Amino acid sequence: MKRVTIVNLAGTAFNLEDDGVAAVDAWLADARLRLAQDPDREEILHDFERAIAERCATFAPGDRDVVTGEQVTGILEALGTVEPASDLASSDVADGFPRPAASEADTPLRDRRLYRLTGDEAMLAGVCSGLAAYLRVDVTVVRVAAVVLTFVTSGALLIGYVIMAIVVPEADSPDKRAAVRGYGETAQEMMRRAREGAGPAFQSLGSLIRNAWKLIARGLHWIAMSIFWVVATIWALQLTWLFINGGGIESAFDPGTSTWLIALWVTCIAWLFAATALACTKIFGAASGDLQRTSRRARDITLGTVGSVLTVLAVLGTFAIPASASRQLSSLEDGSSRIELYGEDLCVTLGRDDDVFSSECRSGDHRVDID
Amino acid sequence: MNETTTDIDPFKSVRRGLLELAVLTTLSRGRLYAAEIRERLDGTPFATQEGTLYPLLGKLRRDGLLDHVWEESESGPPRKYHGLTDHGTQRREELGRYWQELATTLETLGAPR
Repeated sequence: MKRVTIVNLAGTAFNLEDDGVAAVDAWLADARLRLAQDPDREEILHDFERAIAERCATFAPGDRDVVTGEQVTGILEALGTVEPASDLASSDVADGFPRPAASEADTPLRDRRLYRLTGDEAMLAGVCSGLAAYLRVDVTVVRVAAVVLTFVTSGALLIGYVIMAIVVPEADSPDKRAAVRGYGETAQEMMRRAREGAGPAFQSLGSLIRNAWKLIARGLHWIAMSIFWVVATIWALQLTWLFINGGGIESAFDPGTSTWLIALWVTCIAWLFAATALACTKIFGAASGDLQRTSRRARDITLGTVGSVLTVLAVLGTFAIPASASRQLSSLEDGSSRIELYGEDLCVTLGRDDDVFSSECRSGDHRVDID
Repeated sequence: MNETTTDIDPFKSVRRGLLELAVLTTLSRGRLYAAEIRERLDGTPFATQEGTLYPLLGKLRRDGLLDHVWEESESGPPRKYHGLTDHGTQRREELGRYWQELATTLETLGAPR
């Protein structure tokens, strides 16, 4: 089974097998290079396209007929190699016309240059993807190595990453993107590389890891989504309960803690979970391939930032609020000798009829119960 | 590469030089489109593929020897019918005469004095 692409050749649509399409692309790209010095280059290229179309029409007269890859190869072989007319005049050239100098200038042998490959190829700042392209290694291998090295170096690599993200320029033009790899992004180049085979030896390993990670990420995405909605629901229910029936959750807090503080505390806790779940949703959602378009990526970054900030606030709130609440000297129950004290560095001496009990709380939230 | 090809076909450069005359000659009796020119040349020593023919037609047009008119085709895209301009007809006759002259010269060079 072969895939078929509908192509427009000189204004007529043809169904070509995909390898045929690639072959036509490569042939025309090659012709373009060879005709680099021909003033009528574009017109001649159109003529070639028409010639290819005419021959395709003989193989596939109907709309639903398909021109096979072999037929396309035959057509291109019949057209032959493009020889610029200027070469015909010069007597010293017999065959295998050397490319004119101008075409060499079109595709200079670029040295590879390190850029950050941003956009769809990037996870964060595009350092790993740029490095992978530069080193001609699969990007997953670089990423796995980066994560492992980060742990091994106790995070020192992170600093290196940040420095690279700042120092290494971004590949913001097709030319630069090509320069990272050291080759042009012409159809001819792609054909050549396709013919050369599967690329780096890490390819299969890389795609294996990537697929496995995609699967795991999809699962985690689903779990994070579920957690987010469950937490959001619980949060809403708790808040409703708190405001309708003030006594419910208060019992879990130190007596005397204000309802507003309790509400704030619950909100913070809920946010801690919800924001974490939300961040996970975004991260794993992106990793599982559900959100891959650039516009979505921008939205993810925004949501991720908001989520992170809220998480930090929630964490701070969780610790700060109960501490401040506990500083209040809470309650003294009349009629009994039960005294509850909360706070730091309290020194309390209590006396009763039958005996004298003295207690000291030097630090922390120690609780003294005297019956 | 050039040398080996020359070894295989020592007359290639001769034919190449004459290809222009050959193409002009195919058009001497009326307009043809590129595929028809190629068909005329097929089976002759001047057999040429489109890859060579099209750039040559472009050059001849630039030199003012050819012009073309567009005609609709029953199947496929419209076709470019090439024809000789006055200058082209003139050049064809000149080249033809020159070729005759060369041939005659070659014959007479070997003739006994």
